[in-house]
Amino acid sequence: MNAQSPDHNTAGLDHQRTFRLVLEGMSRPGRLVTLDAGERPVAALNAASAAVARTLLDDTTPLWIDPALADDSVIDFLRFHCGCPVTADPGAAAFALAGDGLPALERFSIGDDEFPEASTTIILQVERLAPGADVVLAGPGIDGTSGIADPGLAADFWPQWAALTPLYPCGIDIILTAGDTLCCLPRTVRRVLGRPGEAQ
Amino acid sequence: MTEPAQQPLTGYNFAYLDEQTKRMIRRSILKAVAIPGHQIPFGSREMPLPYGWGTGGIQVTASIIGKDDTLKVIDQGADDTTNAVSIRKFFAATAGVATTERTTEATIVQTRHRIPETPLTENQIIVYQVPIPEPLRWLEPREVETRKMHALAEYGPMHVQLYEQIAKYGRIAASYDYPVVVNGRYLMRPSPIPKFDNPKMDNNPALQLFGAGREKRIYAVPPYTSVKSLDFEDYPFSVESWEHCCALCGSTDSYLDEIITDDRGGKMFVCSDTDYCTQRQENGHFGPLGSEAAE
Repeated sequence: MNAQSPDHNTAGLDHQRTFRLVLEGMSRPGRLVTLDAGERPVAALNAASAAVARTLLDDTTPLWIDPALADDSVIDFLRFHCGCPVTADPGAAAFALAGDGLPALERFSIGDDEFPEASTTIILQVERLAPGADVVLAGPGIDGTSGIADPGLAADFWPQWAALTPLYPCGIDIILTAGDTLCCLPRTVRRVLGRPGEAQ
Repeated sequence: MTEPAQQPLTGYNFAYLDEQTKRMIRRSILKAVAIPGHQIPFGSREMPLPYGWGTGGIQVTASIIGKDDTLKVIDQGADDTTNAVSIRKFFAATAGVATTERTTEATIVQTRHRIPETPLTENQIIVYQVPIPEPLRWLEPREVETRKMHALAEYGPMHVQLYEQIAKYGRIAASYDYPVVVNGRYLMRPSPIPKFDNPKMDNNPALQLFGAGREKRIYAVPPYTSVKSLDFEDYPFSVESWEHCCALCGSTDSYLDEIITDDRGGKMFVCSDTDYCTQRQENGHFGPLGSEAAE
């Protein structure tokens, strides 16, 4: 393996730290969470995507990967660190890794009413994650509203996201990543009008 | 009392569970947070203590805890009971983490049947030990049916049960494990906390995780999430109150335990939350039997 390989003696502790940051992000949507400085990008995967994949994926989680991200070094990385099966069917994936090539959200699994947890979690690479008020969010985990700068999602992303809201508890959870920063959009989150910090 | 971090026992993985199991539990926890109040099945492992002693809570704690955490464990509010002491020692030995009895110093609070009186903060996670996670279980024993009832949000039978209590006793008689609705959607068992603690779950800044080891379920309430105790317009939810104050610290707004002191009917009421009571006494608050009165 190359110099970017994490040390296996401390892998468990690294995974724990990364998980706690993902947990913080998932329980406080819209909060920007920065990972440890030690995380490295792997080819087209940014550092946060690579760290989240190493922490959450294994041989029980079929992965759909955006062809634009899936070069040999990324596939090698996933095979070595996660051992996850790669599927060509987004609807069969427990996790998805995507960037600009994100397919329509309806192609992923949203679970069903009895097992809404049987849905795809998307690790979605975006241009930037920064504080701001371009996107204002509300929902469980947020005290009033929270906001981030425009992450550069495709124009049709938010209409697709809003279309999933009435299907709750079915839905898709998204972990946005940029560089070594992540920000989560669990299915309960709504994009709202107004400014961050305002009561809803 | 706070014990500093120490070197963990050799021969065990960090925090006892293997990494593969932790990864599976972590994925379940993330789903639980994303669907507040919904029970997520998980592959519960055998732990080195029997079911009913907090194996669900321990597995959740083992999957989230890290070297920098400070763990507090309470059983019915007390830090010094067998279950609490054993679990604290377990994590001190297998993870080497710092442990504390002070609510304010803890980053993770594992609890059996109470929520601390001291308000939790954004920097804390509370992990509940849950015996029976399914709120509808005593109304409908079949899992396949209760799952459908949750899917359809068909919670009428629970209201009927509360109504029957009103018809029979003149009030809602449930006093612990009082059913709640989370985020306006899922009916949830808050674990056998007294209903006195139910209002603390609502809009709490801390993340609340629930683990049921024998029943193999994990569920969660994210921070700042609505948790409403079921009630009726004409029989609104209310919590217990006492005519007494705590005999040791004089508190009039904490949950009190009745302690029998002799065989002639003597009794005293003291805070169930031992840390809260101790802090109050250290800050100069005393009840009728507090140490200042005794001196």
